[in-house]
Amino acid sequence: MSDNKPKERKHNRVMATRAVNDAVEAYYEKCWADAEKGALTAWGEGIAYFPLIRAAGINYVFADAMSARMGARKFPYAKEAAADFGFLEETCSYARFHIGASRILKGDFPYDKSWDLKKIMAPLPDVYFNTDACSAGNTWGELLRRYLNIPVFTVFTRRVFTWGEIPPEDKHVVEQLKEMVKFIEKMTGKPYDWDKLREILGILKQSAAMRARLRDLMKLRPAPLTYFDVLSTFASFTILHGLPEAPKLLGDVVKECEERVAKGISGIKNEKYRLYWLGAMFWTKLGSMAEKFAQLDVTVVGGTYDFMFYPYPEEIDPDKPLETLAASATSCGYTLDNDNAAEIADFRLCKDLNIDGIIVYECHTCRMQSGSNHDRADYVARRLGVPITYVTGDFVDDAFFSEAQFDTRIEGLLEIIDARRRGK
Amino acid sequence: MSKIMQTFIDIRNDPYDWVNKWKGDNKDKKVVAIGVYHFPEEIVHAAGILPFGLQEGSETIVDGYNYIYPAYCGYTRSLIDMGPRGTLRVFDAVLISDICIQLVKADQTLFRNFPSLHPVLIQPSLDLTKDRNKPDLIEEYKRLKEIVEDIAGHKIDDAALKNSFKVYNKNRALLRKIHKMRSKNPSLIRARDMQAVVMSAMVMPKEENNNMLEEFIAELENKKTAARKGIPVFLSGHLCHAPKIEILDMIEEMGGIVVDDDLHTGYRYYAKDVSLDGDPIEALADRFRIIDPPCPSRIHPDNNWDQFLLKKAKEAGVKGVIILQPKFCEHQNFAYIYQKRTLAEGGMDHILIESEHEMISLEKIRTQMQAFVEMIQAKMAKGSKSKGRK
Repeated sequence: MSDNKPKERKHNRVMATRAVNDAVEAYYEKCWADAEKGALTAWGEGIAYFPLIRAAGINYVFADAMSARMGARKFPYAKEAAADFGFLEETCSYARFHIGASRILKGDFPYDKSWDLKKIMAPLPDVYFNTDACSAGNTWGELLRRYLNIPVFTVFTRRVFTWGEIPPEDKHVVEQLKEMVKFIEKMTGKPYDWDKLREILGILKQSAAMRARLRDLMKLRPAPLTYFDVLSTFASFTILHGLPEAPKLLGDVVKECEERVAKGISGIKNEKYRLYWLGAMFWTKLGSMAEKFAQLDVTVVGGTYDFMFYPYPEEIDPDKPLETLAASATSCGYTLDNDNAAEIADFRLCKDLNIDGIIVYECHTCRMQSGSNHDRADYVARRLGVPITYVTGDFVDDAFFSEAQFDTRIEGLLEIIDARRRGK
Repeated sequence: MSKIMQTFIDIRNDPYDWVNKWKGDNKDKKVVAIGVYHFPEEIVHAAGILPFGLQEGSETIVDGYNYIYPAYCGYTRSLIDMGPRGTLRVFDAVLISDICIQLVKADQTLFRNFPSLHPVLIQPSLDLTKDRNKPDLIEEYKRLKEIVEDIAGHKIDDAALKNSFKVYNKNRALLRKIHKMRSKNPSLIRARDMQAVVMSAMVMPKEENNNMLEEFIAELENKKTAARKGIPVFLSGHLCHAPKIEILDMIEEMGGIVVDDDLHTGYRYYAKDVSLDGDPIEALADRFRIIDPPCPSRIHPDNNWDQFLLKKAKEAGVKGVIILQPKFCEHQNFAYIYQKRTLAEGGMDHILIESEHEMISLEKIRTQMQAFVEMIQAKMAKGSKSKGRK
């Protein structure tokens, strides 16, 4: 790829996605304001159970999202604080950035005061929730328990594969969620608000319906948006998950995309290739990657995060809240065995997307995500007859991303696709 | 070198060659590969099956990279690489305990791509604070027992389990004895040889190993040694696989005298016995819940490896702690955060040495060790109290 800057931008960003950032900023500001008034703040690993926390009036801050935000904003001090603490670079960058941030918030590590911390991170927590999706999450929570002197509640979720069948793990998790409710009641000193939980699940259901609509729109050729536009709305199903503004934000994105379809406007200028992104995402380069692909005439039409965090409205039942939450955790891509994960997470999306190839993103410091990717890509690629390429990067740590490697691998994939097309 | 020690060394040098020969000589018997750490291998032994503690291979990872990306610890990458290599074909099953996401994924990868190896994952509940932890553990161990019974083709009764506990408890007692003998007189056994002793216990039939250990202890009791010059050190880390012997040799070459450890191929393997009282499965669950030594894979407010490490290092009278950190082991890195500060506050010098499956440069470790030893020697010469490195 040429080092010269392109003369014309080819990624046609969905403008409604910009409002998501404002909403996230407002949420962080609310967390700070509420904390000053004595409201509880929870940090945590994992999304599956946080409607349960939010319904109790506790401001929940998803740790990964906080780290992603710091990475996207290029805040350098969290990483330095983590290294100073003793973290090695190979350890999960979400954890490093997050724990580094806790040091800064606690006043144990300096930073340039021209940064407004309230815009990029949440206040220190009163409690930590761990969903045990990854073993690093356990140690992460334990470290914060000790460093911040806060209680930690863990929901232990088994990886539910045995000989190709999915045993009923949900009941096991539901029992633990009942304990979590008791724990929350003890923290808040109030009876649990089940109606609020049902309301939040109702909102999630609306958000999920919007996400489903975006996935449908992505099937069109050319697609009116790209996966990077979807990821720009990501906060609406992570940080803003279950808040009333979330479905509205997504609804605006859907509306703009439907208008684009009516007007014949596509997500990129000239869609020649359609690729699926299997794996995590490099949050610090979202915008530049969107443009990079657009310059190559590539629409990335879907990816792993399409499946995460309550993507299917029909799987959300506000009248069975604990069962819904449990199923979300036990049936996510990371708790199933590789083939089941590939079937319900990747293949279910890809089969209708008319993809030409798969990009496997090996997130260097995430063993949970990256460990299954080879098998999952193989599962989809064999069924759809498409080629795969592998690129290496990270969630938020620039040290592990090579622009040159990325370019070479993507361009190589496109050459394979071209050759196959010529051969047909 | 005694014949017994040579046997231990031969096993350590190529455990997979050993087990293939064993299988050749014992065609009517079954052998199951196990991920040793936190695994209740007594259940496998009680079924009359040889539990073989999986060891990191010595080969360069090649075909394994078709299945996993490179940023996994050496142990799990090696394990996955053994799939296409065929190393695991000698086993009737591969049983692993979930203590870390990398082991889980290694098992998943083998399960998907090499199902004929019969990989099985057992998932003990890791949050020791919960009331449900013990019932969950019992449930999972009962499931494991059923799986092993299926492999064995017969039931395992309580008497067989308790007999296995006795055999294993004896093995651990013998290993603890050797550990104590080494602590009293480090010249008795080098670090690499200690590793060979422990690894043989992880791999061989326990009864046979017990006999060999008893003979070995008698040899040690009669061994004449000359005191070695150097700095007494405590080796810590490497939770679930053995450190490279080249690193152990380097430590000793540079003047470190290993007095004590909490390594996988050390104290961790023989720290905890199983009670012979009551229900045997419950006894195994109770053993899992003992926090000695602490392990970052489990959740409990008393599970503080740093405090344990400082206490043990002081009891051992060492001048420094060498933390052996396998590259990509997140559990251990998280634990290091408090180890670093606790050791410093406790006035105990330490160094962190990172190891890899394919060791690219031992010279880096040589330089680190040299500097560490010189620093401690200088402090000793001044007679100053160590302030520890923060």
